[in-house]
Amino acid sequence: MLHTLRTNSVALFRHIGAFLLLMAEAVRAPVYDVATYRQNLARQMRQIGVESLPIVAVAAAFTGGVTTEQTIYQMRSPLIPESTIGAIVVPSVILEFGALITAFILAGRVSARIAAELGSMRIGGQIEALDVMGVSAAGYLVLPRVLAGTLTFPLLYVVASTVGSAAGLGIAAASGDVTTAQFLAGARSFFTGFMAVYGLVKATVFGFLITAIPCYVGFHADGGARGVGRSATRAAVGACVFVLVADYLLALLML
Amino acid sequence: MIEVENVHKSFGETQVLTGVDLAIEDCDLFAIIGHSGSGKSVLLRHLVGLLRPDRGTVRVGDANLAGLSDDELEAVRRRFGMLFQGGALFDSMTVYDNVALPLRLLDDQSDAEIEERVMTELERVEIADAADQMPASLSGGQVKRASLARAIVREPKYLFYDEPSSGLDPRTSSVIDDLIQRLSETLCRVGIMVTHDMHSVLSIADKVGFLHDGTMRFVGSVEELRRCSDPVLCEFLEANAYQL
Repeated sequence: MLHTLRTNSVALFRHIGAFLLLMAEAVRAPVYDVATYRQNLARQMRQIGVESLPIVAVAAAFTGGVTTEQTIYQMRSPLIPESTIGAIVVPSVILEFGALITAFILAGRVSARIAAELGSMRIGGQIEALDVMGVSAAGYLVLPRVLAGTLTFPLLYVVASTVGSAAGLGIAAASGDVTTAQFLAGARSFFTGFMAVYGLVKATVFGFLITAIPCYVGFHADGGARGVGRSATRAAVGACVFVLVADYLLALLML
Repeated sequence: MIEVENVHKSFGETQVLTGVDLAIEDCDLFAIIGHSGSGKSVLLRHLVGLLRPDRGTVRVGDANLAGLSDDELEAVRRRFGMLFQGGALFDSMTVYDNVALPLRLLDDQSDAEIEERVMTELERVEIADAADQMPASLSGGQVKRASLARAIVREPKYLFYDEPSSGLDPRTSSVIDDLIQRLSETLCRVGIMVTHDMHSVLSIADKVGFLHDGTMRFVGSVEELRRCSDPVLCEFLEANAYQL
């Protein structure tokens, strides 16, 4: 038991060390050709951002709607003012659900894809080919993906929070228990600028994690087609776990 | 020139290379042969700096690869070109873009200059008409040719070939052999080829090294190989069913 714990701890620290080295190499690698990098970055931003937009919006709408329904159910009392619904739903979406739901969607959609892509390149020899050319594979393959995730995630978060809050408002109004004016008054009374800042910081950290973790996992894939599949699964699960850990740490540090 | 001195390499308990010595002259096309699992690919990976020896030195020109920092190794590697066994082309790029990639990333050239270089190399390997195709739509032979064009497009001093004819039919294999020989003769590059294909070795190699039990058991010319006197080497050649 103690031996297993020690072995796993050593392996975890080894992974963290290797992860940090990969990130450092990606950052310090020279930008060989600005036009090629710009193209890579634009392609990654389109894949991570634009192509994820519909599913993120749908998930956010349902999350906002369900949160509203549950809040109405729990707050149905003559002693609680109706505006409380808006005061709970909108901050919940902005502080937590907007970023977290987007992160989970992207962990399944983006993290798995990145790990499978880089894993295939590792196994197919393309990463070695870059190395033999004298090109830093970390700089060429990892940096645009991580940068695209870190820049795009906050935008998706803004969309998710807006759609989630709007869906909450719509469901509240449709339920007949709360008027639009009461919902908005409640939302306004509790909303502060710090909530938006906190949400954006969280989104930036999540954007980094959901792209950097699969880059690391894919970069070190081995074992043929099964290895690629394994790295895609590991990347999606790992991204979700580290997002939750980061979520807790950010709440501890910032709230 | 490439010099390998007393190179040792182990993976865990498994000793793969146990003191390899080798010297490859400029303009030579050197073939490394040996049984499966004899360490040929491991040796090739040492020569291009993808692996570092546990002991010994690998010297490429003036540089001892084992003693270089990552940045210095990257600089040395820019004089390398390598044909990978599976081609290692990027699936998301056309053949043209694959071949142009090293020029775009490493050389300060205009688009017109890059186009001229790329088309010259694609014509040299006789797949200029497939420039706009994606790798997935190419045959095995075309993939090898495209990979070869990418390997030579920056006119590297050292060319490495990992199983250049594997998976190809005899005719296509012979075309790839001709290309490799022409490159070696016309461009006077150091060429190192790891292969199982004894027909290729006997047709195009200048010198041959037989890797066995982690060491170079034989190094000599093709003529010396044909006059084989070492029973282990003779057995290997007979197993490959070639008349010497």
